[in-house]
Amino acid sequence: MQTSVSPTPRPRRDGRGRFFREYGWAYLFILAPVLLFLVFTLYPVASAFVMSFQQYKVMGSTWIGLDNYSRMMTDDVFWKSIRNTVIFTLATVPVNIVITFVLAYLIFQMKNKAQTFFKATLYLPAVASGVTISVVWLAIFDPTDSGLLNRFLGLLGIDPVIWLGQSGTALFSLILMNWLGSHGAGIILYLASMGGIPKSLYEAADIDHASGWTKFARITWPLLKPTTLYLLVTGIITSFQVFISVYLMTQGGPNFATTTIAYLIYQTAFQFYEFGLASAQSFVLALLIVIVSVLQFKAFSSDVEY
Amino acid sequence: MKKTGWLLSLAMLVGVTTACGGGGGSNAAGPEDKDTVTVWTYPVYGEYESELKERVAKFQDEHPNITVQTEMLSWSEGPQKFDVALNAGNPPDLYFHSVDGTYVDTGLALDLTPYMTDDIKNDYLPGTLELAQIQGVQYGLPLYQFQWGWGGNKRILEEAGIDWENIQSEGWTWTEFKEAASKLTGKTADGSPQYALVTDGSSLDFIEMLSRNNGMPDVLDDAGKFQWNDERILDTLSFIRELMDSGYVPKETAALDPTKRTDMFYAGQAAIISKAIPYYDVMLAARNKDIDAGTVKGEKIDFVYLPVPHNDNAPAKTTTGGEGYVAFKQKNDKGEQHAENTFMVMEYLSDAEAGNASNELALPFVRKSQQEAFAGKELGTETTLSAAENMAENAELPVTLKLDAALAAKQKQFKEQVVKPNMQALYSGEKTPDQIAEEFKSKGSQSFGQ
Repeated sequence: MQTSVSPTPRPRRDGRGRFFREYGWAYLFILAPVLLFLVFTLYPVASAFVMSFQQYKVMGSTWIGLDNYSRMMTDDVFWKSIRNTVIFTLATVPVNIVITFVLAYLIFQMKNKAQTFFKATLYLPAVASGVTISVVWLAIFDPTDSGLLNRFLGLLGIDPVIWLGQSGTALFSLILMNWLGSHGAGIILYLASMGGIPKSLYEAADIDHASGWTKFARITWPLLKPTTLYLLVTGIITSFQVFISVYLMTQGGPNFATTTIAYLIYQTAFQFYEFGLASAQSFVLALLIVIVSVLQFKAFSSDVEY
Repeated sequence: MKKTGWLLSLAMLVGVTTACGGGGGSNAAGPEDKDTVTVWTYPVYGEYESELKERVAKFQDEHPNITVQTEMLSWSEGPQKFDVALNAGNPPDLYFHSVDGTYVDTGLALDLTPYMTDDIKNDYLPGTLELAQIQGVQYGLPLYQFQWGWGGNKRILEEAGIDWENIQSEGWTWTEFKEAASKLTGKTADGSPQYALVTDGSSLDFIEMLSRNNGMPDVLDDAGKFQWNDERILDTLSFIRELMDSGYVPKETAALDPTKRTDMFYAGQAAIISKAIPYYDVMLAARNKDIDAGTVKGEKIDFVYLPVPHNDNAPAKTTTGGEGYVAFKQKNDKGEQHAENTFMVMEYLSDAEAGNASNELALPFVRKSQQEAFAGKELGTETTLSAAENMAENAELPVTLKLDAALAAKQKQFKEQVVKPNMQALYSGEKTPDQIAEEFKSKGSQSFGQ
């Protein structure tokens, strides 16, 4: 005869006590970052969201519903800033990815010491401050004959250009600065990914007499797609938030030719003290970034293997 | 340990976290209670930081219950730091700046009327206390009265036969300036272009100073009436365009910043620069000494302080304002005694000894006691000080001191969003004066309803 012994149900309090005894420390440790997230990220974001429906005043804000959003939608400068931001993003991100990829591909063919040298050299701008870089570029774009770029043009017999002082060239100047700027982080990511591609795949391709282009198109490029997708998404997010170069070099001018959405938010908040309107602009920027990022993942992630 | 151990740790964590949010301030209930007054300021002149430290130490010796915490801000980053603090409801008790309607609009600017004794009021020279008032209410105490003129290179002016001493005493018209400009434009010894006048394309000082000298105190007048909507602003814009078309002003102006303007002045490529203060006299004298000592390379320059030319049919005006300490309370008000202590520190930092700011900057004093304290010790050359005195007679005070905060804010926004981009378009030749004047008119009508 078998006797079934049913386990005695443990009192609930005891179970909770055991849970805390076993996992309490773990939860305590994650409490710190959770608290930091709540206090320094979630709370400000939620406050800013509420603020976007208010006319903000330190001593008491007024609820104005969607007024900030409707004001923003009828503001020419807001649409100019969106246009400039989109142009800047479209002009910089794809070109930067190509430049980064080509540089990484060239470095990958080199020996170890040369690789280290180029990796360090090309990463250097990433650790330099944006302010320093902007000051150097201001000297490069000096509008007089003595400007570095204008001197170079002079050697080619081309008249000096007022790079940052004309609507036609100001945004292009910032784009040019971005193209020639920091590719270091992307290069390191690409190099790591290239190093992770199994050599056996290339050996098999060699046996099949595959050309260099075929090996690139069928092996290298597909296996680098996750890195490319990552660089594309982060590049677009960064470009949508471009601020330092605009702030330091053109202050949105001339005639709003370089006013980007991030600069407009800064100007609305800190020059005009319209924090409610600036919050509304911030949420539109955040929404744009989310939409573009989701679209990118939808478009590219189906054939990306992680 | 176990349960009590981690509960204790949690309590400590919460304690540390909440401590971060503490104000750190103090509520002084009585005159002898301990209190802390915070002061955010700037390096007003070369030795200001060290002098301020000494003065604060002396104040604290005399008032052992009051601690004065000073923070020296950089001119570039300071305003933003202050704006954030102010709009978070936690500004410093004292901040060095001109009084601004947007500050008053926050409700945190401290009305100083109850603390202004007759002794203090009577010590200020006529017209100077008003520099720190908005609509008649005192929010600050001016440390000095600034004025903006143009700055000339004596050598270039004299080589071109310009009677600069007469200009300093009598002023000059736009027509006279154009005549002079034709003589001042040419080439430097090394073949670089030399311009009669160099201005920067990033700020609005140039158009503001010129329009003031064409009968318009600002975009709005004291009564809030829109000014930049008639022939006067068109004349002013046309005058600027004419200077550029004649080559008197660089065609690259749209991309010139104030630093480049100064560089061109130092390099002898600018006979005159469009913004100068009498302090340049002291500054350039120091640079000349450095050149003599071999620590700086370049040509020594003798400074000539010049009034801004006025339109032939309009009176001459000198752009003037006041800067000094502005007092604030916080969102969590620290009480009446704290406000009194704040004023006490403010008055101490603006007293006779503080007149060294005006003296160092070669500016007119704001208090009688300062005039007396520094009598015979004035820095700057006699000609510059005399020119500054002449120009002070035509002083045009900022209209923002008379406007209500909302209108002042609208004017500021109009300048940033309408005037600035249009001025850049004028400098780069992308718009004509007529197009810009028309845009000022239509956008001004939308903004100000006039």
